[in-house]
Amino acid sequence: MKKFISAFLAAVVFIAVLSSFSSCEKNEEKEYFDANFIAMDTAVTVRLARNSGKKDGRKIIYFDDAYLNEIKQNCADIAKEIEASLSRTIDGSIVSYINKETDCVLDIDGDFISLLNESFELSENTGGAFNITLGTLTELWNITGDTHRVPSAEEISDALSHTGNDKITVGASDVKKSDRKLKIDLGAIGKGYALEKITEYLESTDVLYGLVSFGGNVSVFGSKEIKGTKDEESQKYKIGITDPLDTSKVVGYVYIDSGYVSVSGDYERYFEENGIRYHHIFDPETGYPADSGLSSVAVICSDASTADALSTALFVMGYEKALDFYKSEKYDFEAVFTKKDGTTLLTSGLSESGMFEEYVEEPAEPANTD
Amino acid sequence: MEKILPNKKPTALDFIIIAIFLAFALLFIFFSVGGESLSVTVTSDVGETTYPLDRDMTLHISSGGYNYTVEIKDGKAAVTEADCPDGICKSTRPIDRDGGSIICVPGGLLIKSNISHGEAENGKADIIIP
Repeated sequence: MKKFISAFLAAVVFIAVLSSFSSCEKNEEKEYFDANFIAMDTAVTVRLARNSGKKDGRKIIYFDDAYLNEIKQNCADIAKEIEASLSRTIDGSIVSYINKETDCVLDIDGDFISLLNESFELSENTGGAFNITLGTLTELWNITGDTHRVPSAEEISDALSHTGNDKITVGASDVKKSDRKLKIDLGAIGKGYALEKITEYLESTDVLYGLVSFGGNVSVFGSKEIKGTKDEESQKYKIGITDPLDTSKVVGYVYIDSGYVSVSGDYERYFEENGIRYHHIFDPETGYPADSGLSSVAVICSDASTADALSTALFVMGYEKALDFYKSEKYDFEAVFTKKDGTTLLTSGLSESGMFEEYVEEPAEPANTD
Repeated sequence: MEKILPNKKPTALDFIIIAIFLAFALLFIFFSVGGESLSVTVTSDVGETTYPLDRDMTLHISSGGYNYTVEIKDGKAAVTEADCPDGICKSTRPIDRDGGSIICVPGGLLIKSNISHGEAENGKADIIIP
């Protein structure tokens, strides 16, 4: 009987140890609370650390879902509010008023005016590669709509005649147009702008760290130090950059502890006709989807709007011009370029800092050397 | 002289030892094979629901006043029927374990792959930019 009791106790202890191991694993799996919503016609994912960092004795406290859901809802509200101003297609948005055949729009709020000024400054500094006056072109191609088509050369020429920064003037609270048909499109900067506002909000909450993915833009906030590691490298966020030639893979990972990563690529939004892919990033010079030899550009920057705009601008420029632009030091950023031939190239700051890790595929079957 | 061992019946201790080994084996299987399965999360105006990608099924979903048929087949999820005004969700490529999302803006429907590129699955990246 004694033998039986001893063995029974041993079994209980053994199972208890295994159970505690099991529950630790489950908590580890739930490092993040993930929430998804739609804003600006794209999927937004908010990943919030559950760990509140407060310890009750030796037990770590986790935020409950209700609190994290409330934060997610606030993020969605911020995005919706910005979308209501910047959308081309929502009636009553500031952009929709500007895009009407009108000379002047008055009483525009200061944040929108600041975004317009920042956009025109970026356009000037990138030699027009970033351009928010391509609204007529965007509407003509309608890449993301169900009526997309390849327009005629005449149509493209006509649309291009209603573009240009010189045809629009931004005042303290008003916008004047010298060409009534000119339309603006903030699609290449709006998501970055919204992401920055959401990230600023998240930094003001009790959430210790996390990430936001907004279309092709990602922000990270807070410190992962709470995870218990003192190693600075492991406190960084590891952001995968999709391989534009095979979207089931990544070209590599960027390691950052703050800031933003924005990707523009020809694989994101496009349609195909007669075997040709027509994507959504237009060359303001030609009026056609940019054919610069690049398939995607990822920009790492401390400012979200700049990261978003530059990823588009560098894509339009192509690698050589983009590298010259980088060397001009007009903006403080790093970039990952993936060419159409699959080559991945980095800016010097990125390669020297070790912030990028190239994805190395597991070796396949030995190659036939015959 | 050869010693013959008595032919004993199994005792309670024997059963407990076997139970311990069985428990250990089951836990081993759970941790090596288990974990988060491949899935898609469907977000509509009534909330979020997660469905496994490895089980074929047809879902009938209503969101924002529109009706959708979502088919999960061979590890891929796609919108096969929708009465939304633009029908963009129907023409969106099916999503699978390699990531991606299907969005219907008019109805506020979002179908999102939870596992991206096999990398996030292994916990190698915090997030992968789609």
